Amino acid sequence: MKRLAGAALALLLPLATLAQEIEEHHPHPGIPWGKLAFTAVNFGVFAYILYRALGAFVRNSLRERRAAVQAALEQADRVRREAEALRAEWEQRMATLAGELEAMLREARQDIEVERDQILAAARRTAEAIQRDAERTAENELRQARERLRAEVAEQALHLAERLAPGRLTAADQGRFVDEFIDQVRR
Amino acid sequence: MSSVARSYAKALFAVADESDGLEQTAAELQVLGALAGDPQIASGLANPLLSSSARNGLARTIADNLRLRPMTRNFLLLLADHRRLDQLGRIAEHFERLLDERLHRIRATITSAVALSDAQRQALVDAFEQKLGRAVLAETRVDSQLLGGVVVDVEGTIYDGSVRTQLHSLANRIAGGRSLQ
Repeated sequence: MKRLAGAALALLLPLATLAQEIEEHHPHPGIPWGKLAFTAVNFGVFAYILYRALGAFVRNSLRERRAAVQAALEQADRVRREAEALRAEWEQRMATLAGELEAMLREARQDIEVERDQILAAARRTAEAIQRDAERTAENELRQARERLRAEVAEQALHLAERLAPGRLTAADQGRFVDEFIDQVRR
Repeated sequence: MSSVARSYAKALFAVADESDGLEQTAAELQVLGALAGDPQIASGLANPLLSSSARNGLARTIADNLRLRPMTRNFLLLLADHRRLDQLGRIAEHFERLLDERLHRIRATITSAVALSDAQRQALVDAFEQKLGRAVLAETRVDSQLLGGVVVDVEGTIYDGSVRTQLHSLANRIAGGRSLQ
Protein backbone atom coordinates (compact mmCIF):
# COMPACT_ATOMS: atom_id res chain seq x y z
CA MET A 1 0.00 0.00 0.00
CA LYS A 2 2.81 2.27 1.01
CA ARG A 3 4.70 1.35 -2.17
CA LEU A 4 1.64 1.89 -4.27
CA ALA A 5 1.12 5.31 -2.71
CA GLY A 6 4.82 6.14 -3.23
CA ALA A 7 4.71 5.05 -6.88
CA ALA A 8 1.50 7.01 -7.47
CA LEU A 9 3.07 10.02 -5.84
CA ALA A 10 6.22 9.69 -7.96
CA LEU A 11 4.11 9.42 -11.15
CA LEU A 12 1.51 12.05 -10.36
CA LEU A 13 3.91 14.71 -9.09
CA PRO A 14 5.81 15.09 -12.41
CA LEU A 15 2.55 14.88 -14.38
CA ALA A 16 1.03 17.65 -12.26
CA THR A 17 4.14 19.75 -12.68
CA LEU A 18 4.08 19.16 -16.40
CA ALA A 19 0.39 20.05 -16.64
CA GLN A 20 0.94 23.28 -14.75
CA GLU A 21 3.85 24.25 -16.97
CA ILE A 22 1.72 23.59 -20.08
CA GLU A 23 -1.08 25.70 -18.60
CA GLU A 24 1.36 28.53 -17.93
CA HIS A 25 2.96 28.39 -21.37
CA HIS A 26 -0.18 27.54 -23.29
CA PRO A 27 -3.17 29.08 -21.62
CA HIS A 28 -6.65 27.78 -22.63
CA PRO A 29 -10.05 29.28 -21.71
CA GLY A 30 -12.38 27.24 -19.46
CA ILE A 31 -11.67 24.95 -16.55
CA PRO A 32 -7.96 24.92 -15.52
CA TRP A 33 -7.61 21.20 -15.26
CA GLY A 34 -3.92 21.26 -14.80
CA LYS A 35 -4.01 23.57 -11.86
CA LEU A 36 -6.78 21.59 -10.34
CA ALA A 37 -4.83 18.39 -10.69
CA PHE A 38 -1.79 19.96 -9.20
CA THR A 39 -3.75 21.19 -6.22
CA ALA A 40 -5.29 17.79 -5.78
CA VAL A 41 -1.94 16.10 -5.88
CA ASN A 42 -0.49 18.58 -3.38
CA PHE A 43 -3.36 17.91 -1.08
CA GLY A 44 -2.88 14.18 -1.45
CA VAL A 45 0.80 14.54 -0.62
CA PHE A 46 -0.03 16.66 2.34
CA ALA A 47 -2.62 14.20 3.47
CA TYR A 48 -0.19 11.31 3.12
CA ILE A 49 2.52 13.12 5.06
CA LEU A 50 0.04 13.88 7.80
CA TYR A 51 -1.08 10.30 7.77
CA ARG A 52 2.49 9.03 8.02
CA ALA A 53 3.58 11.48 10.64
CA LEU A 54 0.57 11.56 12.99
CA GLY A 55 -1.45 8.45 12.12
CA ALA A 56 0.11 6.07 14.70
CA PHE A 57 0.02 8.69 17.43
CA VAL A 58 -3.61 9.51 16.73
CA ARG A 59 -4.52 5.83 16.59
CA ASN A 60 -2.75 5.11 19.87
CA SER A 61 -4.32 8.12 21.48
CA LEU A 62 -7.73 7.12 20.27
CA ARG A 63 -7.14 3.52 21.44
CA GLU A 64 -5.99 4.64 24.86
CA ARG A 65 -8.76 7.13 25.09
CA ARG A 66 -11.26 4.44 24.20
CA ALA A 67 -9.79 2.06 26.75
CA ALA A 68 -9.80 4.79 29.40
CA VAL A 69 -13.37 5.67 28.63
CA GLN A 70 -14.35 2.01 28.70
CA ALA A 71 -12.57 1.50 32.02
CA ALA A 72 -14.20 4.62 33.38
CA LEU A 73 -17.54 3.35 32.19
CA GLU A 74 -16.95 -0.04 33.76
CA GLN A 75 -15.80 1.61 36.99
CA ALA A 76 -18.81 3.85 36.95
CA ASP A 77 -21.04 0.87 36.33
CA ARG A 78 -19.45 -1.07 39.20
CA VAL A 79 -19.77 1.91 41.50
CA ARG A 80 -23.32 2.35 40.42
CA ARG A 81 -24.09 -1.30 41.14
CA GLU A 82 -22.42 -1.07 44.51
CA ALA A 83 -24.28 2.12 45.28
CA GLU A 84 -27.51 0.48 44.28
CA ALA A 85 -26.74 -2.54 46.42
CA LEU A 86 -25.81 -0.26 49.29
CA ARG A 87 -28.92 1.75 48.78
CA ALA A 88 -30.99 -1.44 48.72
CA GLU A 89 -29.30 -2.64 51.89
CA TRP A 90 -29.87 0.69 53.60
CA GLU A 91 -33.43 0.78 52.40
CA GLN A 92 -33.90 -2.67 53.87
CA ARG A 93 -32.16 -1.68 57.07
CA MET A 94 -34.17 1.48 57.29
CA ALA A 95 -37.28 -0.57 56.78
CA THR A 96 -36.32 -2.86 59.70
CA LEU A 97 -34.64 -0.14 61.75
CA ALA A 98 -37.79 0.92 63.49
CA GLY A 99 -38.50 -2.67 64.50
CA GLU A 100 -34.94 -3.17 65.66
CA LEU A 101 -35.02 0.06 67.61
CA GLU A 102 -38.25 -0.99 69.23
CA ALA A 103 -36.83 -4.42 70.07
CA MET A 104 -33.68 -2.84 71.47
CA LEU A 105 -35.72 -0.44 73.53
CA ARG A 106 -37.92 -3.26 74.75
CA GLU A 107 -34.89 -5.38 75.66
CA ALA A 108 -33.20 -2.44 77.36
CA ARG A 109 -36.39 -1.74 79.29
CA GLN A 110 -36.61 -5.37 80.38
CA ASP A 111 -32.94 -5.37 81.42
CA ILE A 112 -33.48 -2.22 83.41
CA GLU A 113 -36.55 -3.71 85.08
CA VAL A 114 -34.70 -6.91 85.95
CA GLU A 115 -31.76 -4.96 87.31
CA ARG A 116 -34.08 -2.65 89.21
CA ASP A 117 -35.86 -5.65 90.72
CA GLN A 118 -32.55 -7.24 91.67
CA ILE A 119 -31.33 -4.01 93.28
CA LEU A 120 -34.60 -3.62 95.13
CA ALA A 121 -34.54 -7.25 96.29
CA ALA A 122 -30.94 -6.90 97.48
CA ALA A 123 -31.75 -3.68 99.25
CA ARG A 124 -34.78 -5.31 100.83
CA ARG A 125 -32.73 -8.28 101.97
CA THR A 126 -30.05 -6.00 103.41
CA ALA A 127 -32.65 -3.94 105.20
CA GLU A 128 -34.28 -7.06 106.60
CA ALA A 129 -30.92 -8.42 107.75
CA ILE A 130 -30.08 -5.13 109.43
CA GLN A 131 -33.47 -5.10 111.08
CA ARG A 132 -33.09 -8.71 112.23
CA ASP A 133 -29.63 -7.96 113.64
CA ALA A 134 -30.93 -4.92 115.42
CA GLU A 135 -33.86 -6.88 116.84
CA ARG A 136 -31.59 -9.71 117.88
CA THR A 137 -29.17 -7.33 119.52
CA ALA A 138 -31.99 -5.58 121.30
CA GLU A 139 -33.45 -8.90 122.41
CA ASN A 140 -30.08 -10.08 123.67
CA GLU A 141 -29.49 -6.90 125.58
CA LEU A 142 -32.98 -7.04 126.99
CA ARG A 143 -32.58 -10.66 127.98
CA GLN A 144 -29.22 -10.01 129.58
CA ALA A 145 -30.58 -7.03 131.45
CA ARG A 146 -33.54 -9.13 132.60
CA GLU A 147 -31.24 -11.93 133.70
CA ARG A 148 -28.98 -9.50 135.55
CA LEU A 149 -32.00 -8.00 137.24
CA ARG A 150 -33.38 -11.39 138.21
CA ALA A 151 -29.99 -12.46 139.53
CA GLU A 152 -29.69 -9.27 141.49
CA VAL A 153 -33.17 -9.67 142.94
CA ALA A 154 -32.51 -13.32 143.75
CA GLU A 155 -29.21 -12.51 145.43
CA GLN A 156 -30.72 -9.74 147.48
CA ALA A 157 -33.61 -11.99 148.47
CA LEU A 158 -31.17 -14.72 149.43
CA HIS A 159 -29.08 -12.40 151.60
CA LEU A 160 -32.20 -11.01 153.20
CA ALA A 161 -33.57 -14.46 153.93
CA GLU A 162 -30.25 -15.64 155.34
CA ARG A 163 -30.07 -12.59 157.60
CA LEU A 164 -33.67 -12.82 158.79
CA ALA A 165 -34.04 -16.59 159.07
CA PRO A 166 -32.14 -17.17 162.35
CA GLY A 167 -34.32 -14.69 164.19
CA ARG A 168 -37.58 -15.68 162.57
CA LEU A 169 -37.34 -19.47 162.67
CA THR A 170 -38.79 -20.97 165.80
CA ALA A 171 -38.09 -24.31 167.40
CA ALA A 172 -41.30 -25.54 165.86
CA ASP A 173 -40.05 -24.51 162.44
CA GLN A 174 -36.79 -26.33 163.01
CA GLY A 175 -38.65 -29.42 164.10
CA ARG A 176 -40.87 -29.21 161.04
CA PHE A 177 -37.81 -28.97 158.76
CA VAL A 178 -36.35 -32.11 160.31
CA ASP A 179 -39.65 -33.95 160.08
CA GLU A 180 -40.06 -32.98 156.45
CA PHE A 181 -36.53 -34.17 155.72
CA ILE A 182 -37.24 -37.48 157.42
CA ASP A 183 -40.37 -37.86 155.30
CA GLN A 184 -38.35 -37.21 152.17
CA VAL A 185 -35.76 -39.81 153.18
CA ARG A 186 -38.48 -42.34 153.83
CA ARG A 187 -40.01 -41.69 150.42
CA MET B 1 -5.40 -44.64 153.35
CA SER B 2 -2.02 -46.26 152.87
CA SER B 3 -1.64 -49.92 152.01
CA VAL B 4 0.66 -50.30 155.02
CA ALA B 5 -2.08 -49.17 157.41
CA ARG B 6 -4.59 -51.37 155.59
CA SER B 7 -2.33 -54.42 155.92
CA TYR B 8 -1.79 -53.87 159.65
CA ALA B 9 -5.51 -53.26 160.16
CA LYS B 10 -6.43 -56.46 158.32
CA ALA B 11 -3.92 -58.48 160.33
CA LEU B 12 -5.16 -57.10 163.64
CA PHE B 13 -8.75 -57.61 162.54
CA ALA B 14 -8.08 -61.27 161.81
CA VAL B 15 -6.42 -61.84 165.16
CA ALA B 16 -9.15 -59.96 167.05
CA ASP B 17 -11.83 -61.90 165.17
CA GLU B 18 -10.28 -65.21 166.26
CA SER B 19 -10.27 -64.09 169.88
CA ASP B 20 -13.79 -62.72 169.58
CA GLY B 21 -12.61 -59.28 170.64
CA LEU B 22 -13.45 -57.14 167.63
CA GLU B 23 -15.58 -54.54 169.42
CA GLN B 24 -13.11 -54.14 172.29
CA THR B 25 -10.18 -53.89 169.96
CA ALA B 26 -12.02 -51.33 167.90
CA ALA B 27 -12.72 -49.28 170.99
CA GLU B 28 -9.07 -49.40 172.07
CA LEU B 29 -7.91 -48.53 168.58
CA GLN B 30 -10.30 -45.61 168.52
CA VAL B 31 -8.66 -44.26 171.68
CA LEU B 32 -5.20 -44.85 170.23
CA GLY B 33 -6.24 -43.17 167.00
CA ALA B 34 -7.51 -40.13 168.86
CA LEU B 35 -4.26 -40.05 170.79
CA ALA B 36 -2.22 -40.24 167.58
CA GLY B 37 -4.31 -37.40 166.21
CA ASP B 38 -2.87 -35.01 168.79
CA PRO B 39 -0.18 -32.99 166.95
CA GLN B 40 2.41 -33.18 169.74
CA ILE B 41 1.96 -36.89 170.28
CA ALA B 42 1.89 -37.49 166.53
CA SER B 43 5.21 -35.72 166.08
CA GLY B 44 6.71 -37.80 168.89
CA LEU B 45 5.43 -41.05 167.40
CA ALA B 46 6.78 -40.13 163.96
CA ASN B 47 10.14 -38.89 165.22
CA PRO B 48 12.82 -40.85 163.31
CA LEU B 49 15.50 -39.91 165.87
CA LEU B 50 13.88 -42.04 168.58
CA SER B 51 15.89 -45.18 169.35
CA SER B 52 14.27 -48.58 169.30
CA SER B 53 14.27 -48.77 173.08
CA ALA B 54 12.79 -45.28 173.37
CA ARG B 55 9.98 -46.17 170.96
CA ASN B 56 9.24 -49.35 172.86
CA GLY B 57 9.27 -47.41 176.10
CA LEU B 58 6.83 -44.91 174.66
CA ALA B 59 4.52 -47.69 173.45
CA ARG B 60 4.63 -49.42 176.82
CA THR B 61 3.84 -46.17 178.60
CA ILE B 62 0.81 -45.59 176.35
CA ALA B 63 -0.39 -49.16 176.76
CA ASP B 64 -0.01 -49.01 180.53
CA ASN B 65 -1.79 -45.71 180.82
CA LEU B 66 -4.69 -46.86 178.63
CA ARG B 67 -4.73 -50.29 180.24
CA LEU B 68 -4.82 -51.99 176.90
CA ARG B 69 -5.58 -55.64 176.58
CA PRO B 70 -2.56 -57.86 175.81
CA MET B 71 -3.43 -58.27 172.17
CA THR B 72 -3.71 -54.53 171.55
CA ARG B 73 -0.65 -53.90 173.68
CA ASN B 74 1.40 -56.38 171.68
CA PHE B 75 0.14 -54.82 168.46
CA LEU B 76 1.28 -51.40 169.68
CA LEU B 77 4.72 -52.75 170.56
CA LEU B 78 4.91 -54.38 167.14
CA LEU B 79 4.19 -51.06 165.49
CA ALA B 80 6.90 -49.45 167.62
CA ASP B 81 9.40 -52.12 166.55
CA HIS B 82 8.53 -51.59 162.92
CA ARG B 83 8.59 -47.81 163.21
CA ARG B 84 4.89 -47.64 162.27
CA LEU B 85 3.50 -45.79 165.28
CA ASP B 86 2.72 -42.85 163.02
CA GLN B 87 0.19 -45.08 161.20
CA LEU B 88 -1.96 -45.58 164.29
CA GLY B 89 -4.69 -43.17 163.23
CA ARG B 90 -5.05 -44.69 159.77
CA ILE B 91 -4.97 -48.24 161.13
CA ALA B 92 -7.77 -47.35 163.56
CA GLU B 93 -9.87 -45.89 160.73
CA HIS B 94 -9.42 -48.93 158.55
CA PHE B 95 -10.12 -51.32 161.40
CA GLU B 96 -13.33 -49.44 162.06
CA ARG B 97 -14.31 -49.77 158.44
CA LEU B 98 -13.59 -53.49 158.41
CA LEU B 99 -15.67 -53.89 161.54
CA ASP B 100 -18.53 -51.89 160.02
CA GLU B 101 -18.49 -54.15 156.99
CA ARG B 102 -18.45 -57.22 159.19
CA LEU B 103 -21.37 -55.94 161.25
CA HIS B 104 -23.18 -54.67 158.18
CA ARG B 105 -23.43 -51.13 159.39
CA ILE B 106 -22.68 -47.71 157.98
CA ARG B 107 -21.52 -44.42 159.46
CA ALA B 108 -23.30 -41.15 158.97
CA THR B 109 -22.70 -37.58 160.08
CA ILE B 110 -25.88 -35.66 160.81
CA THR B 111 -25.41 -31.89 160.80
CA SER B 112 -28.31 -29.70 161.90
CA ALA B 113 -28.86 -25.97 162.37
CA VAL B 114 -29.96 -26.51 165.98
CA ALA B 115 -29.31 -29.44 168.29
CA LEU B 116 -31.55 -32.39 167.58
CA SER B 117 -33.63 -34.06 170.21
CA ASP B 118 -33.00 -37.73 170.87
CA ALA B 119 -36.28 -38.56 169.21
CA GLN B 120 -35.37 -36.58 166.08
CA ARG B 121 -31.95 -38.18 165.98
CA GLN B 122 -33.38 -41.64 166.34
CA ALA B 123 -36.04 -40.93 163.74
CA LEU B 124 -33.33 -39.86 161.31
CA VAL B 125 -31.27 -42.95 162.04
CA ASP B 126 -34.32 -45.15 161.60
CA ALA B 127 -35.18 -43.47 158.33
CA PHE B 128 -31.68 -44.00 156.91
CA GLU B 129 -31.48 -47.58 158.19
CA GLN B 130 -34.75 -48.25 156.42
CA LYS B 131 -33.55 -46.51 153.28
CA LEU B 132 -30.09 -48.10 153.13
CA GLY B 133 -30.95 -51.46 154.63
CA ARG B 134 -28.01 -51.28 157.03
CA ALA B 135 -27.45 -50.25 160.63
CA VAL B 136 -26.42 -46.60 160.89
CA LEU B 137 -23.87 -45.30 163.32
CA ALA B 138 -24.67 -41.62 163.50
CA GLU B 139 -22.52 -38.77 164.65
CA THR B 140 -24.29 -35.44 165.15
CA ARG B 141 -23.01 -31.92 164.71
CA VAL B 142 -24.53 -28.45 164.90
CA ASP B 143 -23.92 -25.80 162.25
CA SER B 144 -26.02 -22.65 162.51
CA GLN B 145 -25.01 -21.68 158.97
CA LEU B 146 -27.53 -24.23 157.73
CA LEU B 147 -30.28 -21.87 159.03
CA GLY B 148 -32.62 -24.84 159.44
CA GLY B 149 -33.08 -28.50 158.55
CA VAL B 150 -30.35 -31.15 158.44
CA VAL B 151 -27.55 -32.42 156.20
CA VAL B 152 -26.62 -36.10 156.41
CA ASP B 153 -23.31 -37.35 155.07
CA VAL B 154 -23.37 -41.13 154.60
CA GLU B 155 -19.79 -42.05 153.74
CA GLY B 156 -19.50 -39.33 151.15
CA THR B 157 -23.08 -39.34 149.90
CA ILE B 158 -24.77 -36.08 150.94
CA TYR B 159 -28.48 -35.85 151.73
CA ASP B 160 -29.11 -32.13 152.02
CA GLY B 161 -32.31 -30.94 153.70
CA SER B 162 -30.96 -27.64 154.96
CA VAL B 163 -32.85 -24.37 154.66
CA ARG B 164 -29.71 -22.71 153.34
CA THR B 165 -29.50 -25.05 150.37
CA GLN B 166 -33.22 -24.71 149.69
CA LEU B 167 -32.89 -20.93 149.73
CA HIS B 168 -29.96 -21.12 147.32
CA SER B 169 -31.93 -23.42 145.01
CA LEU B 170 -34.87 -21.06 145.10
CA ALA B 171 -32.65 -18.06 144.41
CA ASN B 172 -30.98 -19.89 141.51
CA ARG B 173 -34.37 -20.66 140.01
CA ILE B 174 -35.37 -17.01 140.36
CA ALA B 175 -32.08 -16.00 138.73
CA GLY B 176 -32.89 -18.24 135.78
CA GLY B 177 -30.14 -20.76 136.30
CA ARG B 178 -27.39 -18.33 137.22
CA SER B 179 -25.37 -19.57 140.15
CA LEU B 180 -25.32 -17.12 143.02
CA GLN B 181 -22.64 -16.60 145.61
